[in-house]
Amino acid sequence: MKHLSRRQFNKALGLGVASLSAPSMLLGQSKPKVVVIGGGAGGATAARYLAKGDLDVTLIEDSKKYTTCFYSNLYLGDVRTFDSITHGYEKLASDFGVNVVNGFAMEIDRAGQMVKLKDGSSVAYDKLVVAPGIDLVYDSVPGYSEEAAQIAPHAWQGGAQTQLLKEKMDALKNGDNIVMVAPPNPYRCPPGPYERVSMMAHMFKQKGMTDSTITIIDPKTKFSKQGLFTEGWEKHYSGVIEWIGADIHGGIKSVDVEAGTVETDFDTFEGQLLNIIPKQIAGSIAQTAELTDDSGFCQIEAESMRSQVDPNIFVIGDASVAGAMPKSGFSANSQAKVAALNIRADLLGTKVFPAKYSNTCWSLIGTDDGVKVGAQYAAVDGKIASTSTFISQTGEDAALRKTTYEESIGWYEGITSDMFG
Amino acid sequence: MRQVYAGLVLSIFSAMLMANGDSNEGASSSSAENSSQINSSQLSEILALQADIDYGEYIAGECLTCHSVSAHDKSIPVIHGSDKKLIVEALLAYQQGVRENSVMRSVASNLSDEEIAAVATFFNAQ
Repeated sequence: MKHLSRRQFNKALGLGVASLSAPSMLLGQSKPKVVVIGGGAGGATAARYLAKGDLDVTLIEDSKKYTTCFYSNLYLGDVRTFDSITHGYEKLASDFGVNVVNGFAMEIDRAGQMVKLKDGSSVAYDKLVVAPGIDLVYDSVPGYSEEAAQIAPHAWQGGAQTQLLKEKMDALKNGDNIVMVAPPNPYRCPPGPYERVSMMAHMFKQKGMTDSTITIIDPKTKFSKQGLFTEGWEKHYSGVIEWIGADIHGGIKSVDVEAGTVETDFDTFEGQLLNIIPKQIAGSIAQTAELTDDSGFCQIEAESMRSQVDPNIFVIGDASVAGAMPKSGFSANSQAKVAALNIRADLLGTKVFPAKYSNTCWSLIGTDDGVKVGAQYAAVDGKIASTSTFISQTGEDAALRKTTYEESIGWYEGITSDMFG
Repeated sequence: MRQVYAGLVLSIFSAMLMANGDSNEGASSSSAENSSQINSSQLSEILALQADIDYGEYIAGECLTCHSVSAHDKSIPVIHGSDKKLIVEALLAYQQGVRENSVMRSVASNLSDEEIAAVATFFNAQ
């Protein structure tokens, strides 16, 4: 796909190609307009890195406060408070001049380059960043629904669902059991479900709930950091957590959230608390704007995060298909910077550099027992491919695990200040 | 003399990082030994490069995910405003396997000499 740089564009105008729609800056009336849909790890970072005084940047986000999905497991495990994982957009507005619009983006008029909000208002753009995160496909688990999520929370989007799951965990008594249905690939935060059960078991241990257990019914046959989690569960919570992969249970047939049961080909599992994490797709606006492919996610150009279907749109974060990169807050933050670089170049003629991406996923298994997996990435033959990788090892000593956990605390502070200022 | 100075500043920098909770991930060698293990000709070459500060600003984005501008938590050091040479030395120590943090080794192993010069120049200017 060929894109016009500002220089090429001016040249084209000079040659009298009048049919092209001119960005507003060429008319000398106002700064080029960039709209960002979604104020999570991708969108907030993009807004911040775009807003340097020479662009008119609008961030559209439905929530006034943003609770990070990353580190929400630590809140479930009573390691962090809810307030400590909840952030506002005030600094993006006051310190960076981002126009923060509290509203829900319903529709993108791609031909007219306008975003339409639920309240009926519209915002025009020269370039658009789409960072809506995920939507949950509730009925991918038969018997599950948005209403059922009030009884059996997914808590896979930060905020009210996180608090609901925590309330239900806190209400459990010794001897009560939790059944988690883990999500199929690809999904947000690959180690997340397994860190979550670790934090659930941690809560049982702290409260002396020695008769309670956790069963994970997984549609997959293996999972992220499996060796590390399996080792950690045996070490910290022996006999508490049982993982049952697809090759054992044979398939998830249905859930009944009222009865607290998960039926599989193999057996029916019963819990006083069900945590159902269904299949995921890109946030609804990406679907309605037809930016997605058959997978439900958005194909992008590896060099820039530009949508493969619309050169004026960049899709970042969980909604994108980003090659070898996992769906994570770190990935989204990294992708946002590549998108911002390319958008600024499109609109202002600034320099473009080769895309560099990175990700690290830290997970907390038990008190001071942190592990990590990560990689660096580059655009290789049109795909985002890893150029180096690393992972914590089984059998590491306690001091190293503590350092890894402490590193994650520093990272959380770093990424949230990088996102929100 | 140059070597001694390089060793000294790296010792101080490493000590700062260690005090800030960077464990070196089990590195057994002392920071003084670390500095002597860095390829000093590569260090000199990088410091002599004409750095592209715009490129440095872009690369710095990768650092700022973890290294916040003013951290309260001490586990990951603030590198804003750090001396250019200290940053280059630290990145080379990770790149050459002298220091052991796996995240930093991965980051540094993907940086060219020009990129190291650029990012160090950018942070130095903050």
